[in-house]
Amino acid sequence: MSSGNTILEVKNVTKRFGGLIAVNNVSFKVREREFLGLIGPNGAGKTTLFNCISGLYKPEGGRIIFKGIDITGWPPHKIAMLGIARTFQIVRPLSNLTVLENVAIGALKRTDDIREAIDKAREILKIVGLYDKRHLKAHLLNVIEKKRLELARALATDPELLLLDEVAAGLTPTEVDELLELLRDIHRKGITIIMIEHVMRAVMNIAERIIVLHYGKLIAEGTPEEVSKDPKVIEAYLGGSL
Amino acid sequence: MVSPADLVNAIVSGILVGSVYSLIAMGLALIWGVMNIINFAHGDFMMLGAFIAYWMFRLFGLDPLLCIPLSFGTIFLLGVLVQKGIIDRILEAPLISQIAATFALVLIIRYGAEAWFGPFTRRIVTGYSGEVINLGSIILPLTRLLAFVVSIIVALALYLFLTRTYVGTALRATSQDREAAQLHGINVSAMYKLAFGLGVGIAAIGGVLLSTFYPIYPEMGAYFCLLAFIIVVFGGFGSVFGAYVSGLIIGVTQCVSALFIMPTLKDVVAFLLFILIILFKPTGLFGKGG
Amino acid sequence: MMSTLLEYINMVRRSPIILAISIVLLILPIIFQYLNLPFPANMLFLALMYAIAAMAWNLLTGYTGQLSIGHAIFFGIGAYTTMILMLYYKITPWIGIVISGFMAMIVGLALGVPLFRLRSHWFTLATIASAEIFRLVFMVWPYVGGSAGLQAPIVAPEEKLYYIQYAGPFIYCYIALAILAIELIVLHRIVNSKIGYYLQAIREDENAAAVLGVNVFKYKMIAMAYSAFFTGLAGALYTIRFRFVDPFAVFDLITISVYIVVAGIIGGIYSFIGPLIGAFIFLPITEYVRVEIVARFPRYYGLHVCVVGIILLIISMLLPEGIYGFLEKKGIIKHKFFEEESRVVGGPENE
Repeated sequence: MSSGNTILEVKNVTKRFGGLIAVNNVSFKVREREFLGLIGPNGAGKTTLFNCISGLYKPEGGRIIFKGIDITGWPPHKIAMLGIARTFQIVRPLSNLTVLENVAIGALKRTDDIREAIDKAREILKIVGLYDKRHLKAHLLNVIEKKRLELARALATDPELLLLDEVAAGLTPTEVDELLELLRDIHRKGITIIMIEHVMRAVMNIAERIIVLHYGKLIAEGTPEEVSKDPKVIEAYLGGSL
Repeated sequence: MVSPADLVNAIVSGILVGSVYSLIAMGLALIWGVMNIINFAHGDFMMLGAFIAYWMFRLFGLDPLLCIPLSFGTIFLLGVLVQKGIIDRILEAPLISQIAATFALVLIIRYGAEAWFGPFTRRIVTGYSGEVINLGSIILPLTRLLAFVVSIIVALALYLFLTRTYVGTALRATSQDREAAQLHGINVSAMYKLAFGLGVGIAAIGGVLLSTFYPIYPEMGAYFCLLAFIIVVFGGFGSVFGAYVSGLIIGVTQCVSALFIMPTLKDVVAFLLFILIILFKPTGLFGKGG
Repeated sequence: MMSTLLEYINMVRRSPIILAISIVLLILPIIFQYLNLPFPANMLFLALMYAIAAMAWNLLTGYTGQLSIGHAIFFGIGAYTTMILMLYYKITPWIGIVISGFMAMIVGLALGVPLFRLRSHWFTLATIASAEIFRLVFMVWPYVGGSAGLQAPIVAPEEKLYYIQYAGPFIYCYIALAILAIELIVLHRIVNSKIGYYLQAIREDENAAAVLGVNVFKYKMIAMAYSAFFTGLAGALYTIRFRFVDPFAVFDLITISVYIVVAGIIGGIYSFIGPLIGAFIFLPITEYVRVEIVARFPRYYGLHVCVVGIILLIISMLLPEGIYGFLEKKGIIKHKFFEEESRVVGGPENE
């Protein structure tokens, strides 16, 4: 599925908050059109890593290289313009704007024309299944719908790299399957995806490769089978089933 | 040329007048710390306190210092009422509604007082208003000295209250972590009323002290409120005693800089400092963080 | 030019109410003049002046979420610029007004650089402090007349057109109306464009906006530029009408900055036309009290402001969305004034 080129390289990235090291010298590469899973127990530093890549945090050490360009320390909007989009673990809808407006704002990254943006937003809303609720103010949606809105909004920015932060949380198994279908469709379009997930059913079934974080360190890397059998990983999850 | 004697006098002056600023600022810091609300009308409660002292003096010849309990009590009660009727309802509202409501209070109290008392400037002149104590070359106006003493006493009383009594500790707990306080059985709603009443009540005491040596007029709240903000931010948002120390510092800065620059400009300096502080170190000197 | 005219015509066609209001506003000054009613004419002028300022202010506050209680800065700079150009350089205010707008805009952008680093109430406090700094500096600065201010002398009849000096508020109402019309069209376009959407995204969640590709600082500056520019125009209006500026009047926290905020909140900051409505509601009330009671009995000075406070308190507690917002919510105003009004309730629909 993925090509040979590296689209994202994370090199020795370290992020500290006062005395606490949230991300500890993490390095890995992501190939174009790859579907990479990022797992690890709570507090492992996964979201912090995403924040570093998307520019909300500035790492204390290391480099982040996207499409060959060093984006370390770049402001978030510049990184977004380069082609990275993300969803948030704790959803951040633009509450007082409608669902349609939320997604249109995503689409405005690529165009200056409102009409174009709205048309694109409608298409995407149809794909994620929120089209019927497009005129509702975003704060009126339930959490699951808000997550879908996050995804739609991120998609509307036409990204090359999509960072998903726990999009499967709280879904029933059927909903997880629907989501996986959707993600496969998106992936087929050629978008590289990194997915933070706790719902193992989801990530193990869709990711080509998995990296595992624990206390900020990268402790394992490999295919889903390899990782699920890795004793370090099992220990990190305290013997929990994968 | 500025002589050393002038400088020393300026510093002393600054401490004396700063101690009154400190009271006003402490009240603001208390409200801000416990309720996380910016009381723009703070200076106007202070003004009411000053006016109570004035009317008691004018009508009954009551010395302003003796009026302190009355001023405090009245404004405390008023504060509790205002908290209950207005502030409480906007605590969860968006920021702009909160600011709108407190500014509305400013307009109502300040200009309501002006319409009622008249836009005149008044003064309290007691038998000892002009008295001065001379310590060598240091000039200590009696009124300001007394104000300083009272201010220290009030600050001490507040300190004891906050650290040695159950209610005071509950108040501090509420300011640190509202939810945890609730879980410990603290009546947060009552704490809010107490904090607001106490905060504006202490400001009212500051008003009374001011009235002994400073002109009294309805719009006086504006200046001292802005000053109180600067002091509170400088001392560290929410830190009540940081506000006290910082008030003294600001008082000294004011008086010393008045030796060298135009009076108007000393306020410009204060406001510039204010902006610089919130830009670069919003936690202030002693603060727990913005 | 043509497209804005078309847009205005579209606007009017769609809503008979706008047409009615436009006609009324156009005719009112003539009626007042004819019936020799200087008081309502003056009230109309003031309402227009504050409406211009409040609409501009709302771009920064209602749309971008940056609450400013220091807009007196731009008003004052606008007022002083027109006066100085007129007094010292004999430049006609017809040009001076425009330059005032740009001066105010420059000041706004300069202020934005440090101030937009601040979030929420810190930003607001900084705007208040900044306005006070301007007021104090202008009080001691000899070039601008210090605390005495600047007064434009009465000119000879042949120069009256050049200096826009006319008795009574009549002509000034029309100048104000012209400025208001231009402002409404410009703001309306901005608010329905990408800029408008991005500003609202910033208001809702700066970080979410940033990862969506919004250059938050740049767009805040854009909002500031327009906001300061038009508020500066309002200040210039003040100068040509009253021919006297001083720091107490034009940099005043309460009668300029807070009044602007009041207009916005009373009318409704979450709707496009709210601030204008707010200005037209509270200005006449406060002016009435001031002229009928306070001017006659100076002993009660302050009553007119106290009244504003009461109105503000009631509205901010009971109708946080403002009077216009409330009417919209209740469906009393069903008619959307603007087809593509970019407000919180709905958005452009071309279905």
